[in-house]
Amino acid sequence: MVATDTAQEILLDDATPGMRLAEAVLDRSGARLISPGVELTEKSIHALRQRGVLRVNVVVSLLEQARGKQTEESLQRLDVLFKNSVDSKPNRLLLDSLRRYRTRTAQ
Amino acid sequence: MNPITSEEISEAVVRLPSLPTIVLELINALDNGDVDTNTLAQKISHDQALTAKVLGLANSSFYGMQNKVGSIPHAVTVLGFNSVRSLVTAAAVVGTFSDGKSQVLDYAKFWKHAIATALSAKAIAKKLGVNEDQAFIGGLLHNIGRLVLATYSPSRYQEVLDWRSQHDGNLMAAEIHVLGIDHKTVGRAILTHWKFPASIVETLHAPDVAHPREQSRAAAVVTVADAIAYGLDVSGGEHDRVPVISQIEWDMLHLNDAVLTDIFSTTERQFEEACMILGTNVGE
Repeated sequence: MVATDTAQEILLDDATPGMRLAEAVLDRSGARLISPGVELTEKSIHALRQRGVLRVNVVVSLLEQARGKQTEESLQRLDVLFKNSVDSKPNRLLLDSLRRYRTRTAQ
Repeated sequence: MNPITSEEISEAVVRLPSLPTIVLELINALDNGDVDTNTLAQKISHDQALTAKVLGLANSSFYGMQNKVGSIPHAVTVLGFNSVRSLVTAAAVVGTFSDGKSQVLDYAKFWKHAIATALSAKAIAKKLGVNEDQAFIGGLLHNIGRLVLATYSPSRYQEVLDWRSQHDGNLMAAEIHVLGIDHKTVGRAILTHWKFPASIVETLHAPDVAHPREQSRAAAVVTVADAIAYGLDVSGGEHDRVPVISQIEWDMLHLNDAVLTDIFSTTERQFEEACMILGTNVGE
């Protein structure tokens, strides 16, 4: 794990293949199921669910954090820009398109 | 309330710095089908600063040309006379009005917004299959009246800005409240003074709710392009707000999500480059 990356606890339901574990996953008795640094796969996510694991700690890269923050900021800015015109239906449609555009281009 | 009289508007328009002669000749030739494009291309070439900007734009991602455009006559051949004319007009207008200093108008923000509106209008026109050059010029000049109001009487324009901040309202409403006139009306007076053809002047018309059928599609293109330029936040002004788009104007353009997305990305892709070439001190 690079020094700038951070760990984030997420619901196992939100975990996707390719995410890297920041901490070991333990079962209820404290036995280690998967070691830190290992990438989750569809199979391992399924196995964890079988074992009753609800949450995992995954690595979030600095880049992902920055992107997420930037998207959030641009969405908030859109609300400010449209605050005087959201009552107009065309403006609301334009806002919706811009939101989707900002969310998509951030990925 | 401190209204501006129509005499003052005329005076403000006459006091504007004049555009290069070649630009006025080009504008006057807009409605004239019988133009000698070779002679005009030669005349443009004599203005080196203008030529450099026009060739810069012609070679930018704006047109996506495979081969380098090396001269104005060459640009006329590959882009067409109308495109060259709108590039010359854009370069000249921005060049003439870009280095003013003003307490009430941030020139860099002003032109950033105008250029994004022009690019967005051009992209919309392309989707609709209507005149792209007309849309581009209309978009670029849609706020030219604001520039005139702000430079003619900075103190009164400051009142407009104060009123807008206090009411978090839109600029047009603030202008009408304080000055009794809005910048689109002033803009039409300027474009008429410069002898722009009616097709461009009418892009500055507000939607006519009483006579929806007479609503010009060219004006609708500029209205929506203006909203998109604010929505894309190119100028980043604290008081920037997306103006209300009327249902009549919106319906005229048949824009859906996919088309809009394309227009957003085209505008953003061409924006930095266009600003740099037009030299509107946007480097900050």
